[in-house]
Amino acid sequence: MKNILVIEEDAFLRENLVELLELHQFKVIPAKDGKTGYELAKKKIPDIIVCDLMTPQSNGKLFLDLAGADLEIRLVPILLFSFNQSEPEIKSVFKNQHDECLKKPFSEKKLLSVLNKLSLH
Amino acid sequence: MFGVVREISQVDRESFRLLVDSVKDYAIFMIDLNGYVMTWNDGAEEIKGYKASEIIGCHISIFYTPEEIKRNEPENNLKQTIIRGRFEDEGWRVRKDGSVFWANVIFTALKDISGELIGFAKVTRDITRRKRADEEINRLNNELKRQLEREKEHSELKSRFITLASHEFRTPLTAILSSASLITRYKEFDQDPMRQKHIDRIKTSVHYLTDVLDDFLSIEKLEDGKIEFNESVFNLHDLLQDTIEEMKGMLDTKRQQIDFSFEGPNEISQDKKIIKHIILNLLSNASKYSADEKKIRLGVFLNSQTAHISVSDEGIGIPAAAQAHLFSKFFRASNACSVHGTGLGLNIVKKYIEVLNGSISFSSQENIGSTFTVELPVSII
Repeated sequence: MKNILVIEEDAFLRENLVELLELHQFKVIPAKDGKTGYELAKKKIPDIIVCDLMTPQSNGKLFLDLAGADLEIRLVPILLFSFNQSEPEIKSVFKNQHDECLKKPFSEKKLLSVLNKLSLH
Repeated sequence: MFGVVREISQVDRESFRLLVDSVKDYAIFMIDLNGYVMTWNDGAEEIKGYKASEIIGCHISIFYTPEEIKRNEPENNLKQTIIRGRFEDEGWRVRKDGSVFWANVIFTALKDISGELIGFAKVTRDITRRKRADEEINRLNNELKRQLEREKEHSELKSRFITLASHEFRTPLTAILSSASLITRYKEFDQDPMRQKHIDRIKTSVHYLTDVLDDFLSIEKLEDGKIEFNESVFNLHDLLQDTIEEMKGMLDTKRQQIDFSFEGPNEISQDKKIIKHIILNLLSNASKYSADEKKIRLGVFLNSQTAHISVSDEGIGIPAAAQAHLFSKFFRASNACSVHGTGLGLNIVKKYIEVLNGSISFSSQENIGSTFTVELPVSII
């Protein structure tokens, strides 16, 4: 069972993601912002990290800064909720080549296909 | 030799007189030391309306407005000319028929060979049309500036909306989509509470999106001055009771309660819809910015002139530094970031209250709570 850290500020969406991913046999660690997310990542070292970059309230940027500087966490594949992978701003925050981007709103199918791709790494 | 000079000088003087006389666009005339008109050309007659026979020997104060005479302008103008040798001025001057024109005036001191002052030359131009054109240009310029300002506000609003639509809308849309996905997975009979939870989430998200859209539309209308009130006599107590009912869903999720008290007559003559919007907004703020299980108070006191409506909460409060900006468009206090919002709600509330000839004030302390007080006239007009 893969451990997955989900950093999403919106309570409904965060809870929905937990529910949805648990149905797909992930073990989910929810976090409401970048700071909490980093603390949990440090403690549990997940297999995959999902981080929202689209709403400033999530403070995903802070998480990426902290994670990028952390030798252990920077190796974890990450899925960003963001507009466009080709945006220079997004490119610069990617730590690994196999990191992925997903634009909200996304379907369950799309989310799972990206996560499955990430869990191969 | 001497005679020749005088001859030339006489010819010059004569042609000079003819030249001056025939100038039509300028009033050119001479004034003696005491300010009395000595000569008069065609231009002067054209501009001021007096014939030479009527005006020669009159004092120049006849050309000034009563206010300028009161301020001693004619004498002052001559004094300035004596000091400087030349004096230029612009102002309203009076024609023979009493009408006024905007004049450009140049006084020149005239001296004899020994340097002794012998009088003044005065050249007056009617520049009313230029003045009016300048004023018109100024007016148009200001109008243009105002329009540009409005245009800027509109484009600011639009770009804010685009940012919001691309950021804030996408999250509730994802929540709706994922709730819908989950509903299809809960197929068993005993999973009804799960289905219901997600149906409620979808509804709440749709309401949120609708509210944000409505806010943007209201603000645009309010700023264009397109909101008009619709006055009618209604029962304020019942309206507020209905509004509280509408809040139930939101309050129940946070297990909050509203304490409602009402004092005074029930009926007022106001805009029902706008008041409902105002109260709904204040109550939902009170709920949003308070922790679970906190109490909200809605108190009304009505006398023969004014309805005092206050909404108090035990919420996070408004930081002192944020209080001055609270009603500004798009403003969000530093401690409000964890709660969704556009920064438009209170801006709209304040504008609505102004439409109803009322006022709003608040007092607040961080981590203790806020009280918003609305005062509305019991009839708008």
